[in-house]
Amino acid sequence: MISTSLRTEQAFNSNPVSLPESINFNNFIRVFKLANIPAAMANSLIITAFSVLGQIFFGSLAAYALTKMNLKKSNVYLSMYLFPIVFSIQMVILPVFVIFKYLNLIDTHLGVILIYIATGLPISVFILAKFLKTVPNSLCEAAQIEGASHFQIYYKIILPVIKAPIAAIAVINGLSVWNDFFVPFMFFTSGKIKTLPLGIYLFNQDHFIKWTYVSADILMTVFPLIIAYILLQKYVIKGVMEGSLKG
Amino acid sequence: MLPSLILIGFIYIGPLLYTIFLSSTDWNGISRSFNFVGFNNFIGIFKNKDFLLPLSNTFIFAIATLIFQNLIALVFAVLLNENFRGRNVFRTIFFMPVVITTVAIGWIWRLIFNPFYGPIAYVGKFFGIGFLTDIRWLADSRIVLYSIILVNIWQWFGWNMVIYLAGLQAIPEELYEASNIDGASFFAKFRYITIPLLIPAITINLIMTTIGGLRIFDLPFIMTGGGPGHASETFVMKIIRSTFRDNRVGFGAALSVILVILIFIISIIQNRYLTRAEESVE
Repeated sequence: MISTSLRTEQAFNSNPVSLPESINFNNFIRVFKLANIPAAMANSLIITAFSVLGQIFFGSLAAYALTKMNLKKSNVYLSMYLFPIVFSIQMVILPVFVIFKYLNLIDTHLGVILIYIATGLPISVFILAKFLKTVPNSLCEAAQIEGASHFQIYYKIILPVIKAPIAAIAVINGLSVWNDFFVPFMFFTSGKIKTLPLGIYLFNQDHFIKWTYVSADILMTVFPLIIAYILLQKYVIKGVMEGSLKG
Repeated sequence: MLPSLILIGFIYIGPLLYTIFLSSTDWNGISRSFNFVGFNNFIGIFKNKDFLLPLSNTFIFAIATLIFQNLIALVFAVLLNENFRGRNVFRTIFFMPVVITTVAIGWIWRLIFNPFYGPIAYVGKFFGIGFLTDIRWLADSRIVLYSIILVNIWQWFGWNMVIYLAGLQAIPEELYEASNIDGASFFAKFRYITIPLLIPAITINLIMTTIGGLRIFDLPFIMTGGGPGHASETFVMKIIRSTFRDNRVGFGAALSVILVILIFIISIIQNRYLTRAEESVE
């Protein structure tokens, strides 16, 4: 199965046959410029980074508030967070699009980031809340006796404690945002801003006869992630496994 | 002070909630001419019948992936649960497709399935297996849906597999040892120890696969765009098409509402069934 991606690389040189004659790097260079891969990568990076940061920030705040602050009806709110997990952006894409159009958020980085934060929050809050419940309350109570404000408790106690689940959430969510196609496809309508997956789609639309170009494009787009994956795969898989146990 | 921070968290839920409300306001006719169409959209859907094909495609897709993806994932998880050298390598390899963007996977498989340039046809030609050279994976409207299902399973079974692995590794060894003393066969052990204790993992996987299957869009869109004809069009595709291409905004909105309700009902049924299974295990 992995060999199939190696094949695409070989397909560069000779068109119908799947074996290479000579390694030809010209294709790579040409496609690199044509498809503007650096720009797409930068966009993907920005969007992924800010989305994940937003999810973590708001998710952890919400999780802390819901579990440790003893609000009335906090359980109701917590289950409300469960509700949207069933939904996915595809189902509510239409109204969101209308709202965003009204707010002038189409074709902006901010709009897309907001969507990702909104869709990533339920699961993040859920996992973090579950985790926080296992943390003994005595920690926070001790701090409160010392006169710490809620914000300080959050900053000094909670944050260090939840490093592990946050790492897992960051990885899983980051992965899905980076690889996502649907949201950029719907919301970057002018074609001026591209993320990597959208870039592949747009490029291949124009060039799909030239399988050599297509393969070059795909390979270069996917390459950084595969490298990152191979280096980090232990954490990725671990994150999924632990996340599922909590769920 | 912090309660206000919670509020910020809620504002992000806001889009999701508002969308539910808005999609029900399609009853007021979110169309260019703002007519109060009322229920006509829904009636139109049921009269029109051309939502039936995408709907059935989506159902077939969801059910097929549900069954086969999970089965394959479970088998591999059991196999990889044994300690053997290089098992982590396999685990990494099987999980890798999950990490690659669906767009890329769609295109790679388009090439693989290609009857002129693709490896499958090449193998067929080389070994003289006519079946492999003649089959039109993506152009034959009878099998195109199943070709896409195949690719989807290939991409995602690693995800399910890893979750099953986590569940398997949580089963205490003593249970198996105790059953060995009682002389239990492999199948007996599987049926009475493994499966019951795996129910939480099974639950998660089933629900995720179902919901994912019902809202599938990326893969078929990249691989065939819904073709040939409408043979591989999925429900979400139909929503997008109606709304953005055909400008039938009210229609698309009504379809979205149906989808939401559908997924909601199915999830509740699944949830009830599976939590009952979980409880019976305890």
